[in-house]
Amino acid sequence: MSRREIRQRAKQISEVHGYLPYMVERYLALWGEEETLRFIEACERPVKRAIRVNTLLTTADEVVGRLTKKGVVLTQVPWLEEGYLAEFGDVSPGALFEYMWGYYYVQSVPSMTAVHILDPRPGEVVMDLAAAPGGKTTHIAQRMHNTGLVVAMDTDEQRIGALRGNLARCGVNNTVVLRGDARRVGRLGISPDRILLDAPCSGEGLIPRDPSRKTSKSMADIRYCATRQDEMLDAALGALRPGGILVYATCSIAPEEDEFVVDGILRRRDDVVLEEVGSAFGIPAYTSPYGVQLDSTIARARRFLPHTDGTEGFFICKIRKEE
Amino acid sequence: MWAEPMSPEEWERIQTWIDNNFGAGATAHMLRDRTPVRVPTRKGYTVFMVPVQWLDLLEMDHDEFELRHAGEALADIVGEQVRLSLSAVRRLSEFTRVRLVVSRRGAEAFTYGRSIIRESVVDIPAGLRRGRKVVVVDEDGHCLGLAVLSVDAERLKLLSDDDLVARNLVDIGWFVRHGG
Repeated sequence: MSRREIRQRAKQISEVHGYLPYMVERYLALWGEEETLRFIEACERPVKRAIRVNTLLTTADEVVGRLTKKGVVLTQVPWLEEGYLAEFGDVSPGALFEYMWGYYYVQSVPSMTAVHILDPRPGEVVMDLAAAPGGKTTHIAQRMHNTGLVVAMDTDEQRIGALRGNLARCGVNNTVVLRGDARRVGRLGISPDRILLDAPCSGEGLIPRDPSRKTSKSMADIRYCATRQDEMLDAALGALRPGGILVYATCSIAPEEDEFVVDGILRRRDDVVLEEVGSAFGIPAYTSPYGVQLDSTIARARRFLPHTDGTEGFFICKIRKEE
Repeated sequence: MWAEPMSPEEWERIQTWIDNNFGAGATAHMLRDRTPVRVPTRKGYTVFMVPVQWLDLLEMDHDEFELRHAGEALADIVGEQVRLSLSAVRRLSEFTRVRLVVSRRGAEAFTYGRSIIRESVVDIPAGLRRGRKVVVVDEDGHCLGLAVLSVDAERLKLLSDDDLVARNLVDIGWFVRHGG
């Protein structure tokens, strides 16, 4: 399709499905019409709920047994030892005693996968740079068996309150929580072994959970997020110890916040390489979104998409800082 | 400085309060090989239990970052008051004998922030007096929170079903109510 045809078709599709036209224009340029329509259709279906068993306080068998008795249908996520798709029916996941005891965390499959890819080990120093409300922080602590040190950082006071509550609920005691701007992380003088940067983003992957996202953000918002993501990623890689691992993730499907940000860092730094994220889930990240040729190793990153994975949209990239 | 070491006097005061309420050695049992530090709050300070090797990090000065949490929270201290954290209450529930056991229905009401009435009480150790703090657990020993007795344990049998036995101080429903 020509640019003009794309614009006309995007206007029609966006009117029918309630999107802002610029969004559909980008989808058409990225995927073509058939896949765009599959994406839009998938965004109308609810995303399956998932839980992570908190092995700091219990076992998978205990949680599966207890929740099954209460009518919750659990299906293990193949690549996540502690992750389960969970159909709660009429039960509110947060109202069960098992939740209050910290036996599980309600968390999306892509979010759990980001920590799975980070692969934090006992005794390490790990940073979580946009940590609140704590799903990934508590998961990191769990993978570290509550040893070593997790430095969890966020700016929002209210969300930090939720983060502290989740640390307490999940029995996490290896974590320091700092309020501050992650772009200044280098000034702390800590060189972590691993960093998780699930960067604040435009949330374009969350349309299946939040239909208001179809109209709530402009292209300027996406550009603003991308600039901040560039700065955060630069700062994080500056702090990471040589040989360390950084996982960059967003809940946006916008290449501007994903592949282009990673391509930018690969151009700016000669001491980082992308590692394979694995092929158990998602699809490879794009190496030529909108026809722009990017670094070919970006295909080592992965995307979750509503129409291919049945999840919200998500991007995960694993970066190693060379020795 | 983000966190300050506790003075021996203030730590002694907190330790005495906890041990008097939950049994000799209760504080040491919770602290294990960690050390207490204090972090100022608007109304007082919070005591956290942290590994000794974290002290260099926690005692640094950083204008650009504020410390909000470290290790495991033990208590908020406001004036003379010691308000135990839910983490500390859960730890206490693992070993203290000062436990009030409640029924399933009582557990549900308690985690909605309600207090404990006579009909919910399954077991309470003899000898506990009015005003005593008690860890509240369900019949399987799961921690539900902390309460303060409104009556002496000995008077329990004289109460009617809906009489108040213990007032809710903090409960695990907080995690849900506060969006944790």
